Amino acid sequence: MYSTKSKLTIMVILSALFCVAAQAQTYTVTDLGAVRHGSARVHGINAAGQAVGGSGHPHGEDTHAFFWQKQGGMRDLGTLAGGDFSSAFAVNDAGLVVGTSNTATKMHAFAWTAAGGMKDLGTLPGTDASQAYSVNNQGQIAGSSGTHAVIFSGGSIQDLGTLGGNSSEAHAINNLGQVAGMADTADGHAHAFLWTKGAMLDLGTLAGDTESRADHINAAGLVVGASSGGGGVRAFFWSPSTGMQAIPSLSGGGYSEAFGVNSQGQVVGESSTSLGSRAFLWTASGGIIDLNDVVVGLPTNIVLAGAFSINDKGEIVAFGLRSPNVSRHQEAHMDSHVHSGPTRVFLLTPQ
Amino acid sequence: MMRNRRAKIRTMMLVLLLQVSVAAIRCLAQANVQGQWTAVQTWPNRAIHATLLPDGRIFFVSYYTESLHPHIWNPANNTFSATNMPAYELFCAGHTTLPSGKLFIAGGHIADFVGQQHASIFTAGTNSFTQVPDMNRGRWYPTTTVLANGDVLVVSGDINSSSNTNPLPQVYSPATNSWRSLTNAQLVLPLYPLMYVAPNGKVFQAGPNRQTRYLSTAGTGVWSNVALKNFTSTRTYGPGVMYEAGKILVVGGGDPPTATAETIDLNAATPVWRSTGSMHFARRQHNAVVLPDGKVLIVGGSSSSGFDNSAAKVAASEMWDPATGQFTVMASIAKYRGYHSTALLLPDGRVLSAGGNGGGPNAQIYSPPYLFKGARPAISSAPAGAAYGQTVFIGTPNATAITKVSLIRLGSTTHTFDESARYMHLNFSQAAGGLNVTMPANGNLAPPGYYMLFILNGSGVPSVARIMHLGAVAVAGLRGNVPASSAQDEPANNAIAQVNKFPTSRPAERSQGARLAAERINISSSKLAVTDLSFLDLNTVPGQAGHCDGAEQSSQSATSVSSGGSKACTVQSPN
Repeated sequence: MYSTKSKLTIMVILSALFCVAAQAQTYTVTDLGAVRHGSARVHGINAAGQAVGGSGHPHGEDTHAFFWQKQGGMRDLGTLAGGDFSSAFAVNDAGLVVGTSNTATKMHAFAWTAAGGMKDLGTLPGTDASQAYSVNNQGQIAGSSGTHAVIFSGGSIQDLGTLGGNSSEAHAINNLGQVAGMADTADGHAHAFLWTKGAMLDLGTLAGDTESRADHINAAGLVVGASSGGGGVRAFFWSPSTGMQAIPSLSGGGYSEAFGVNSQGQVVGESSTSLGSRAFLWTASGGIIDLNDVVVGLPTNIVLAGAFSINDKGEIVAFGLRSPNVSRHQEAHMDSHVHSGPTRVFLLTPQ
Repeated sequence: MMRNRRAKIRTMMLVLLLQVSVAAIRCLAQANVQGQWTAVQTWPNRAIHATLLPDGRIFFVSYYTESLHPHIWNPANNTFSATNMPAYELFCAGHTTLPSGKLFIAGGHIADFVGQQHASIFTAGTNSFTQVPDMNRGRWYPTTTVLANGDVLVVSGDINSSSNTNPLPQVYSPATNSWRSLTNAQLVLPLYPLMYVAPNGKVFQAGPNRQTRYLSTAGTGVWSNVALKNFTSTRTYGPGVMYEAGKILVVGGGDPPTATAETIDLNAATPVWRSTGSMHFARRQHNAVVLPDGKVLIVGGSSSSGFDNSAAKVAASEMWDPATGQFTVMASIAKYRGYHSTALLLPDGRVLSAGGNGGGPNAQIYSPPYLFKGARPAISSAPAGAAYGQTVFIGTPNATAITKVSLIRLGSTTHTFDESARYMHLNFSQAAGGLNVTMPANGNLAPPGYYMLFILNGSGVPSVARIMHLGAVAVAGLRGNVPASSAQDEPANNAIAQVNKFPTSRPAERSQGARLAAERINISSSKLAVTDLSFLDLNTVPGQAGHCDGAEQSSQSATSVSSGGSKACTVQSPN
């Protein structure tokens, strides 16, 4: 098999090749719709282009998890029994959807399949809460239970521990079973971590910062997220060879966070700008671009505010605004509801 | 010829005088029924977050980088003062007044949907912000609730745009300057949920979603469902008010908005939501303010679908009477008070309505009908503070005329919800030169802190309030003012004012609005002084004459507010 050095070399070459293509890449946009009145967020997309998220009123009320595919559109996944909220965060290539739902008085992780519907993933013994954020193609699910990061797998729940502090959350798991998330250190600050076969590695922070969180990990173990502290809140990528490196924000922005990364090392996220929040795509060679600038024929009344997931085909799911009052070319008027008003969900397809 | 001309002039003068008199009587008569709004006054910026301080002044915060420049409005002289700068943007925080009267602020703004992990305390006496230990994660649009023991519950708030709302309720203890996590009560809640301490000591979530619940904050916490509201959708951006101990009104909200309202009595063995009368207008993005007589004023809002549809502005205010369950249309407001507008009861019985994206950096003040129904009773003496269950003497020359005594916690409002105000009537008896008034029995009925105490006569006319401290132990030496320093909830370790983990967005972002606001008005940045409340000791009948929906009025030219709004309602020439 390949050595680690060889793997990295291949990855870098592939990334470079892809990035050349990415520079010229343009997209079409599809509005995914909604299953509940009001607002929506889309959190994950699999290799087949199936997307999942939550749809409901703005401000988190009456929200239900959804599953979207090109044939059939958006499907309401309901909630666990007695619940008034659910949201799906990831879907694997087999169509297994995971997320979080309220029950009558609790919050539990769920798994959903078209055949079996929504199932409660339970909690660690001694705790009464759980969340699920990511699922790999082996069906391993990353999330949290009580105040600890966990892996749900085969009916059991594994506690991943912390970095010496009280709490942790697992936000992503790749097909190798590596997990990325955030965990409190002994001094109480949360740091991004990479968990591999029982060992939790503290990924640290960007220079001058005190906290960090990992939001996603790709097949090669490249981790992305955000670091915060003296330098604001900044998106980062991390690899064993580079350590944690800052991803520059879009022009005029003081906040950025990376939410997704694919096997080619393409990173998607959200960056504030002088005009408000914008969805971005970043590659090592191509740098950061505003996705609003590369969608061909993007209607003038749509602003893509954040991108949350990207698959290996380069398909991206994003949230944004669709209103006659908005334009990606200017700062939104305060009466245009950009701030906390209804949001829409979109699929960006490379063309 | 000359005589005829003089006669004509005399006649014209008489006619003019008659017309003015008729207009004055009409206005007074109308104000007697519908109340009266002052002219619009320009403010330094939008009051998106507003809190009544124990010294009678209003602390307010605008949006984005403007929220780095909070202000305090002094109704005594209608002046504004800039506070010292907080370390981060306070926009989108939750806030309430602590038992000491200091302002507790949880969360804040990093970007839209991205919350600050910080919490701070603002001390008016020293004009300073002090950071307390961080919360578990960010919170953007959280709700804060002072508990019976003086601790503060914080729930909900967005962490970032890709996550659910922060599901972990946390309790801040001022005494230990530390947080306690209710790990057994994790639940995804809407943003800015309506939360109230209930008579049983639990915290009741009254909305805006349909399912309502109790949260026990003991130990690691636990939720239990109470009842579904009758309105089958969700009352998004519809306010709630505790209009009597344990009794809550929720009104309007939803998209499309509803005119319906419903109440619940948490004193009942099995509380249920009951429909009450409906408003005359469907509304969302409006505010609701409980008044000294127990009625609830409804201000602003939009009557049509859409997040904040200013084209469907509801100008008419309404008054809900808990005795009849009916709403009555009140005087109309000039500006659209929708999303990001605030409303607060002032100690003189009037209501401040301010801000809003559409409303802008300005305010109007409402004098309810009770201020046009004769002389006001006066409080001549009151203790600075009282303990639970204590009977205190309230001096008044109007003792025999008093039929009601009410207590209202100082308000702290944002996004259509007041996280602090709550009303209850107090039992009392006549005494020589005053009243013996019995304070609430415990903190479940009235969480510790500062309250406005009103006495009302048989016509429903309230006195100007005395601001009193209520708690386990009476505070000595206070007369409604904030102590410069109180040990009660000063962070135990000021060294905690720590590294700024999530500093504010860079000044370049959205700074234009702040600059413009600063240019609009000459703001004093001098250190704030504690204000005596004696200016509020009024015994006059406001509302003399004139038109009441005047043109925009700059703060520099605004008239004194010490007459219950009457001066701003006098005839004036347009700007």
